[in-house]
Formats: sequence, C-alpha cells, structure tokens
Amino acid sequence: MTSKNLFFNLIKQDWKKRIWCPIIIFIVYFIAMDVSLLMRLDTMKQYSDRYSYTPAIFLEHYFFGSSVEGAIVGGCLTAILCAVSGFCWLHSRTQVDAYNSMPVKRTTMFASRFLSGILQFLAPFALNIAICLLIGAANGIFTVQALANAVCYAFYTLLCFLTVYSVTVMAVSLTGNIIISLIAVGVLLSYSVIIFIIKESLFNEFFMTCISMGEQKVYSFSPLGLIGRLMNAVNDAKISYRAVEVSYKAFNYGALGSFVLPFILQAFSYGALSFVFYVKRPSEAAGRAIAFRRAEPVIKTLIVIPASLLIGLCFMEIIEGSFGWFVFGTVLCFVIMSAIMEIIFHFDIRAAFNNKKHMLFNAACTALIVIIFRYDVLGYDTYVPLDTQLEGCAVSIDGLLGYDYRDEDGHYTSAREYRLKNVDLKNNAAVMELARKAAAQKLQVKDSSDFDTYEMYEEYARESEFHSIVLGYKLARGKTIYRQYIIDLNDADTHRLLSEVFADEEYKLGITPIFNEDISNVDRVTYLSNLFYNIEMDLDEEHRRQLIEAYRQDYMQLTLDDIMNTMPIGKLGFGIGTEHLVDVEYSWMTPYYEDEYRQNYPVYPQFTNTISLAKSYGFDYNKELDVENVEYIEVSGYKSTTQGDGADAQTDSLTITYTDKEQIRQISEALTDSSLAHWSYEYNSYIYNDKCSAVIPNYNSYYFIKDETPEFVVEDFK
Amino acid sequence: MHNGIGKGKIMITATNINKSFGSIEAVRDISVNIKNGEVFGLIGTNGAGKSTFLRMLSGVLKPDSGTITIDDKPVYENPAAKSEVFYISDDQYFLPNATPADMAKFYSDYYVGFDMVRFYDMLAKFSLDKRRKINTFSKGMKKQLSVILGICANTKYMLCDETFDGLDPVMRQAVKSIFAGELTSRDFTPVIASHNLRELEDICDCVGILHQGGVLMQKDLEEMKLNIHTVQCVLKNPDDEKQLVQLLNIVKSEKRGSLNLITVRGKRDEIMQMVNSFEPVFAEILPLSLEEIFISETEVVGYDIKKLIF
Repeated sequence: MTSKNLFFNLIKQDWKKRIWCPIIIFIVYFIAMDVSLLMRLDTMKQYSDRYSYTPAIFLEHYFFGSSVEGAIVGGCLTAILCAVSGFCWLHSRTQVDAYNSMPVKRTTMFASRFLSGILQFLAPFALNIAICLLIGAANGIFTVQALANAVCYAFYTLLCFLTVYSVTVMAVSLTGNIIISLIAVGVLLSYSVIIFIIKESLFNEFFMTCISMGEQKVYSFSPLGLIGRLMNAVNDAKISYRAVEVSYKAFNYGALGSFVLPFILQAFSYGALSFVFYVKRPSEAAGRAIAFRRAEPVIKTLIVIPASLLIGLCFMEIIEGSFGWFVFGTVLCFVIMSAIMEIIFHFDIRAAFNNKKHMLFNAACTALIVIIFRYDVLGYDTYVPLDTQLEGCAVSIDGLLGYDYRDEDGHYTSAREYRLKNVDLKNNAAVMELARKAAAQKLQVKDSSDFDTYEMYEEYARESEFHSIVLGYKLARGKTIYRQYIIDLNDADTHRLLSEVFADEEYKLGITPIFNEDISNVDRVTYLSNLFYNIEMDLDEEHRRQLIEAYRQDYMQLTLDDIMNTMPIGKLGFGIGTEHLVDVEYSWMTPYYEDEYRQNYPVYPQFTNTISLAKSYGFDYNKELDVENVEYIEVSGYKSTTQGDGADAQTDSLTITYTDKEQIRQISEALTDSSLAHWSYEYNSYIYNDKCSAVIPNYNSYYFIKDETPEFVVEDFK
Repeated sequence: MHNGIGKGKIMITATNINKSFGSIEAVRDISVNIKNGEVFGLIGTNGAGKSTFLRMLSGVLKPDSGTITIDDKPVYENPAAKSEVFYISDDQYFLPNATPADMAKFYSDYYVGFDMVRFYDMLAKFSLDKRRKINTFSKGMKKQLSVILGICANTKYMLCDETFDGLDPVMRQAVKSIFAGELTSRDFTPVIASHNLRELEDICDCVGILHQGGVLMQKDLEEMKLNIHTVQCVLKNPDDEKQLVQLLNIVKSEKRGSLNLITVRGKRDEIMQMVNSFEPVFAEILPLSLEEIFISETEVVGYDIKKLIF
C-alpha cells in the first residue's frame, strides 16, 4: 500500500533533499535581477539628466526586454544544474537500490522528479520577477506593458530552460557517471551545430560548386542551434528601424513568436526521450559510462566519425587544403577517439582497442565518406537538373552590376543574395547550357596553395579571366539547389552564353533594386554625379518616375560587352526608405537622424535617355573638369632609382605638383575613382596605375587608368 | 516462532532466474521457493550472487530471464508487490544530512503502514538519538537503524543483505529477538543473506546456498539435521567395518586409528540398530553442526564447500 499523495510527497521530499538548489538559484537571480535593477534605478535617479529614456521605459523595454538574452543564458545554465542535481542519483548504486526498491512506479518517480526540477527553477525565478515588479511599483514605474513584457521575459526563459533541462535529463538517464553525463549534455546540446559545421566544411572544401547560402540551413534539432537562432531574433527584435534603432524603447516580443512551437516541440521530444530512457534504464547501469550497452556502438559511431572528419578538416585548414593532411588528421583522430570511447565505456585503458569489428565498421564508414567527398562519387559538382525538372533559375553573375540592399526594416542583403532572391529566369536555354558547360569542364579557381611561390600566384591572378556565377535551380515543391560555377571569359562560347543571360530582361530587372521598389518609397532627393561634379535634386514623384523609366530603358539595352569595354561616366543615386531617429543611450549624446539608404547606379556613356533627361533637369553627365578653375593637381607615387653598379633598385616616395593647364587637362582625362570603377566587370586593382594617384584640391582623390596615364606622368614616376 | 498466519505456504517464488552483467553471469538458473512465516537464509561467498538475487527479489533489478513472484504477483515495476517488501541493502542509503526522524518520514511516504510510534520506541530501546545526524553514526548503528526502519515499515517481507555483519553480539542477539517477536506477532518472512553460516544457524528455518551464481541446494534445516548423522565407533575386526560401510548410506567415512568416523544419511535409530548389530566395542551418534551438515552435503555433489564457509 502506498500513499495516495505519493506524487506530491515525492516532490516535497525532493525539495527537502536538495533545497540548496532553489536557494542558489534565488540568490543568483536576486543579485542579477533585483539588486542590479535597484542599482540601475538609483543611478538613474542620481543622474537623471544623463539618460535619454525614463526609468519606466528602462523597466519595460530594456530590463524586461532586450536583456532577456542574459535570462536565457542563465536559464540554460540553471537547467543543467536542476537536471543534474535531480537525476544524478541514477549514477549511485546505493540510491538506485533504495529508490528502485520502493513501492513506486518509475513513471511516478520520473514525473515527480522532472516536475520538481522545473519548480526549483521556476519558483525562485518567478519570485525574483515579482520582486522586480514590486520594486518598479515602489518607484512608480510599474506599467501594464512592464507586466506584459515580464511575462514574456519569463516565458521565453522558461522555454529555453525546458529544452536544455529535457536534454540534460536525457543525458543523465543515458549515462551512469556524472562526468560522462556532462560531456553528453555538451554533445547533445550542440550536436546539430557541429554536424552542420562539418557538413558545410566538407562541401566547401571538396565540392568546387558548393556555395553556402546563409545560416538558415543550420540544423536545429539540438537546442544550441535553436537557441542561437532565438538569440539572433532577440538581437533583431531590439531594432525597430522605422521608429528608433536602439532597443530601449522598442523591444518587440512579437518577433520571437515563431520560436514558441519549435521550442515546445523540442522540449517535448527530448522530455519524452528522457522519460523512455529513464523507464527502460537498468538499475545496474549506475556507475557505468553508458546505461544501455546496446547504445554504445551507436554512440561511438555518432561521435567518432564526425570528430575524425572535423579534426581532418582542421588539419586541412592549417595546411592550406592539403588532402594528405586531411587524411592524416582524420586517421589520427579516428584512432584516438575510438580508443577513448572504449576506455570511457569500460573505464579501463586496457579496453582501448576492444570491439575491433565495430572499429573496422566505423573506419569503413569514415573512409566511405572521405571517398564520396574526395572523388565526388555522388556527382555533386557535375549535377545539373534536367530541363524538365526545372521550374526556374536564379542567377547571380558575380562582379557584374551588383547592388547591396537594405530593406525598410534595415535588414541588409548582399548583392548576391539579392540577385538569387529576385532573379527567376524561365526557359532561358543559355543559363542551362552555361551550367552544363561549367559543370562538365570542372573549372575551378586556383588559390595561392596551388603555386610554389606567391609571385606565381599573383601572376596567375593577374592573367586569369575566371569569374564565378551562382545558379539556383528551382525545382518542384519549392526546392532550390544552389551551385557556384567558375567560368572563363576568354572562352568565346562562354562569353556568348553569358551575354545571352545578361541580355535577358528578367535578369536585369531581378538584379536591380530600384526597378523593384515602390516609387512612394523612393525619396524626393535624387543624387546625380560624374567624376568631378555632383548635385542633389529635389524631384517630385512624376520626375522621379520619368528618370527611373529613362534609366530603365537605357539599362535594358546594356550589353555584356558594353560593361566590359566601357567605364561609367557617372552615378545616379536614389534614397530608399525614410530618415529615422537613431536613439542614444545617454542624454549627453545627441539623438540624430539617419538618412535613408542610398542606392547608386552607374551611368554609362551609352545611356542617352538618362543623360538627356538629367541634362534637362540641370545636370550634365558629360561635363568635363573645368581646368581653368583648377590651380594644380598633386600626383603622389613612387619612383624607382637604380644604384650605379646596377645592383639593388630603390623606391622613393614622390609628390609632383602639376600647374600647367594642358597637363591638368590631360591628367583629368586619364582619371577615375573606385566608386565608378567598381562597376566595371574588369574591375580589379590592375586597371589602376599602381605607381601613382592624384588629388585635385576641392574635388577628390583619383586613380590613373593604367593604359591612359599621360606619358609625362609615366616618365616622372618611372 | 510465528503466529501461524498462512504458515508454510510458498509466497516468494523465483523460477529459473538468470542475470548477467555484461560478460559476467551473476545469477544462473536459480529457482527458490520461500514459504510464508519462515526465516530463509541465503549463504554464499562474496560474488556468489546473493546481493544480485536479493536485488531482483526486491524489484530493483530485472531478471534477464525467469520469473519472480511475491504473493503471486510479479515484483518488478509492481508497487503492489513491492509495498509488501522492505529491502535493506548491504550499503543502505540515507538522505544527506538526515536524522533517524527524517528517514522515518522518508519511508512513511512510501509505506503507509509505517509505525512511527513504534519507530521512536525502538530507537529509544536501541539508544539511538532521533535527532543525531546519521552520517555521524557508526556502521553498526546504521545497520541497527536500517533494521528498525524495516521492522517499522510493517511489510510482510524483509530482505536483509549482510545485515548482521557489523553488529556487535549483543545487538545481533537483540535483532534476532526482534525478528522472533515479529514472526510470532504478525505475518512476517525475513530473507537473510550472509556469507557467515554460523550467523544464521540459530534463526533460519530454511537455507539456500548460492555458489558462482547457482543454487547448490535449498533445504529445511530441521529436516537436514534429522537425516544426517555422524557415527563414532570402534568395531572388533576390519571385516565388520567393510560390511557396515556397505550397509549404511555413507556420506563420508574417516578412520583415525581404530576409531571410525562415519557420516551417514538416515534416521538415528535405524543407523544405531545397524551399527549395534556388529556388536561394536564402542559406538555413539555425534551431533552435527549446520556447518558440518553443509560440508558433508555439498562435498557429495562435488563442491569444495570448505571454500564457501568460513
């Protein structure tokens, strides 16, 4: 006969047994929350003129807002403490004998312990939150918003706590020794992240067409993956771009809503697994490394293979891509890890090479993975979908008219990401032909490790005509497979295909943000500039629309050859979004208005519509430098001098001031600047004359175009 | 020694129990029946499987194969069966910083029949301070406390693993008295594991010997004592000795000079009648200790029992 109130009595017993646990949690949170709140409020009272926000806003949006990050970290650490202290009795034979001989079902015992651990965190944590709210009320800064944010603060901390708690209970139930349990906690918490890193590294190292498309692929089946994403979301939630940028007045818990279900599912899944392991766990497992003998080979395989590959990759990274060192690192780690795992399983160093058959199996699996990646057995690099499988294709030709983008919420998107997100070419045969050609030829860019000397690599880099192109194959059911290819522009066929891709209007529209922007979101102020002059024009919506339309017409006529052979003569800049107040933490710092995001677009000499319309608005893109207004041009560079015996050459820095108007004119015709040159598909440092650069007072700093540098300048800096 | 409630009925049954820990076979094909109201002694060397068997009996361990029932109910993961069992392990667990009173409260949560009044009464009799921290107790005092807790839990079955080790002779006798009292006053069946057979001789009704994971034998003590005897005799001539040996159910025979020491199975009167028929110069029946009985019995089945009993 057992007591009907046994469940609650067990919880009570557990509290009595480890009352230190909630006490420690209470004290830590008391110092971290209540004391720090009092200190901060006291500081704010004493130096009220220092802060740009009120104590009430501090309580609402900072204390119970963005600082939830700290609470989450604390919750995770506390979860490990509660779970380990609540279930480590499973590792003591004495306690296992005592508890498992009692007339109580394991399910009841598990449920009571599990709930007790949660309460040991929740009770002191909630109490401290309540005290903080009382402190707020006592200081007259309590608000409904503060209460709502405090509830959210506790809720998200609890979600993280529950997930880590479940994982830790599972780890303790799966093992029979506290040290092994803590290692298991670390592995279980981070396994998906580690596997992701290994997978990404293997693909990047071995597959030349592999391209990482951001963190959205990070597996989240381990809590750290999910918690990491939550932390990023918390960071994003601090920014409300349209209102204020900094967190204090704008923390938005709504942005974290999408994490609730994944956390609940994860906590439930790990909780269910920990329950199964607990119930099935043999009593004799106390003191052993792993509670279930049958799980040992599975665990060993899941640890040894990834660890070996990871260390192999580290060696490969250190020795700059050497496959030999990759194999060495993999084999070394494999042997060491296999031995360590067996030693841990048996707590006996003599057992290091037990289970040779299983070791051979793991070795075969590892070798298979290495072979698959080394020799691309699955044809990753040569994969190109059939035309019938393809629903569309995203294309990004790197270095060719790229525009970074920042949306109205301030989120940054790189030019490549923008292109891949917005370009969707359909029925463009040239794209697929280009992909098949690149995949079949397995073209790849060499890096410095492929050359004996760095000078040889530099020479190769100078002469190469390789460019990367990223394709996103859009297949059925919304799946997109990305591949990066290297193409050689010296190849006439490749040049033709690339020209055809670039000629596709869908491509040009997709890569150019201004054509996809709502006109109402484009600021009135428009920026027009050439190499020497610029102007800000206040254009109404109709004039802006006309200018964008004229630019679009010119832009659509632009060919690949135009870009390769022509340097832009100027820029057209549009302000996107609206200006916004950037908040500051302290009152002695002045809040300021940050401009809208400006997008600059190149204006080529061929853009007759744009140039003509701009001229009618009052700006002449073809206007040359008025040499009469330039007093001098200062050219700085290096001059080589040779010793009399013809030995070592010596370089001396040199600055020459040119005042002759004809010389100034000739120099002005040979200049460019990086803001224009970077649109050139041929852009690299070699189009500049690296011997010298020019400064025109009251204008700007410029580079010389290598092949157009006036002869007298070349002579002066010879 | 007991009040006779259901006495003699088999209430604990272990059938073909096997248990291995990795490659170590701890218990091998053990079958044991324990009757209600008897004191069952389980003896064997360290590592013989006594503790493993008791842990299975108490529902701590799950047998790899075979069945264990208590009152016809399987014991593993069955609170109904386990509520009638109190298990005192060889290294009893006490809550950290607990006092005897704390432990009584602890066990009373699990065993609703826990007799708190009697607990404090027994504590006083054993001169154990209810407020003193158990971690300051000696090993013997902890054993006493374990027994008191077990007795006061009022379960039908009490499984004691090496419980008498560490008790001084006075306390050992006191505990035995308590057991005797329980046996007469209520439905109580203790199972006592020990490697010391002499400890069990004066309290056990039935004994099972474990060796290397298997049961060598399980017998009622009285029955054993009535059916085996040692005859000490001197016969007139060697031919008589040979004839006598052939007639008796000999377990062991030894000769010291002209004195014959013969361990024989059978009833005392029948044996003496046969010996006297040879008109011996001298003949008498010697009493056998439990230890000698086991030595004799087990030697017959080929076990070197001397290694088992100290």
